[in-house]
Amino acid sequence: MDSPNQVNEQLDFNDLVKNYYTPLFRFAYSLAGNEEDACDLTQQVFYIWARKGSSLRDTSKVKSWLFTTLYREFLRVRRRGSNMISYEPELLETEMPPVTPDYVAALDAAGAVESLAEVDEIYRVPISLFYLEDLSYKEIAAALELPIGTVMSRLSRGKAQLKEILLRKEKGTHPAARRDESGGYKD
Amino acid sequence: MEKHEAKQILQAYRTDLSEIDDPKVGEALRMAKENPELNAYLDQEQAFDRAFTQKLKEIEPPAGLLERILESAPSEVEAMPRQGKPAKIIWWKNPVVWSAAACVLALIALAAVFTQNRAPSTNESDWVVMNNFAQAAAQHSPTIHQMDFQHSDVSLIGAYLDRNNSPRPHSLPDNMSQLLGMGCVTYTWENNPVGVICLKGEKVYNLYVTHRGGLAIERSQSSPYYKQFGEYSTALWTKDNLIYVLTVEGQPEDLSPLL
Repeated sequence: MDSPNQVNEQLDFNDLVKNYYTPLFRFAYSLAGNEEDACDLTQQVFYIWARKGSSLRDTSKVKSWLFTTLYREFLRVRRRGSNMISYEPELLETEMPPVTPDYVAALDAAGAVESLAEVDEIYRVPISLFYLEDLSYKEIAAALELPIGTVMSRLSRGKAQLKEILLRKEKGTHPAARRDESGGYKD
Repeated sequence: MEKHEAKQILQAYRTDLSEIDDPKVGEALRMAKENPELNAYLDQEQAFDRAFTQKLKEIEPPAGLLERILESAPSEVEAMPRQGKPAKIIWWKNPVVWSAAACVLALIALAAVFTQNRAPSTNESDWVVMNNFAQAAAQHSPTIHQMDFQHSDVSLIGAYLDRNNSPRPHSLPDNMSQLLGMGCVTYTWENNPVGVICLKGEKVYNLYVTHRGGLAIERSQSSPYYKQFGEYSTALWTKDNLIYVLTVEGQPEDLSPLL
């Protein structure tokens, strides 16, 4: 006979949505850069879960599954919309420009996402997952199907880009204006 | 370790990285403890990370999204058992059982097709494994973002695979060797290392390579066997101790000129 508590032992769809739709929306927003696409992506992930989620046998991986599926959906939509292939850009400067936490604190959330949206997509995805803190390092690597070392190097490069973008906004100048002829930064 | 290398690790540091057994991370942290400049750098990075995380966590979904998601879900949504407490499901109501049964029937049908259309195998299960490998390759299709290494020079891609102890082709068919390299991916399938070389011509082609021994494949398939999985077509063959699967988003005719 089934336990009378069986219903309570089941993670039903409503609970799943309520638990995860906010972090998934944040991730989607940081990828897509706009609210409308972020809503569509978040909705689509739960729709896919509703159709296929029961095939996931390891319930401890639900969160990873949802984030991975959202990322794949994002790539699928992007692929359909554009034939452009973005290659990993070379990083010209390895030294990170200083950005004060006070400046970041003064930003609003939309401003933070706007800055993040300017980071090359190849770096933006791991950075978003890193800062949202919903997935562990190992889970980020698994979701992106990348070795942890590659995730780390992309984070490192992505943060350099993000800081440069923030600094540009802070100073109101283009980063090129801050470089001297040797390619280094002026004080 | 040089200071700049330590800085690169420290700027990507998050506390859960300590759980990963990477000696370089440990060394960078030790250097940060001993070197005041690196210590200050780590503090500065952590402060920036905390501030940016806080900003992203201020994002709230728009009103109505929750209701929109719940309303759009199919009515036959399955409940998921909570971790560690599997729910009892009557077997004939369990969709997994039906899915498994459907898969078994599909595999039997597939094997029947193979035996009718191809030379009989010494070991029919080899066909099932090879078919599964081809299907997994068709479904894998890495994006540029997922590549471990990107370069247009195929010999450098091969060298990367060698360095990472990943299987790779001994040589490419002539027409395939004319293609431009894009990069490569390494991963495991059924606990076997797989090397994927991504090539670009008129389309993007992915060449999957793994060891026959790892999959316990005795059968040889010297001429390419073509099969379509959804939008992807595959060509499978074996040579020496390796199994190859070439995939493309398109028709089998897109593959045959390369082989």
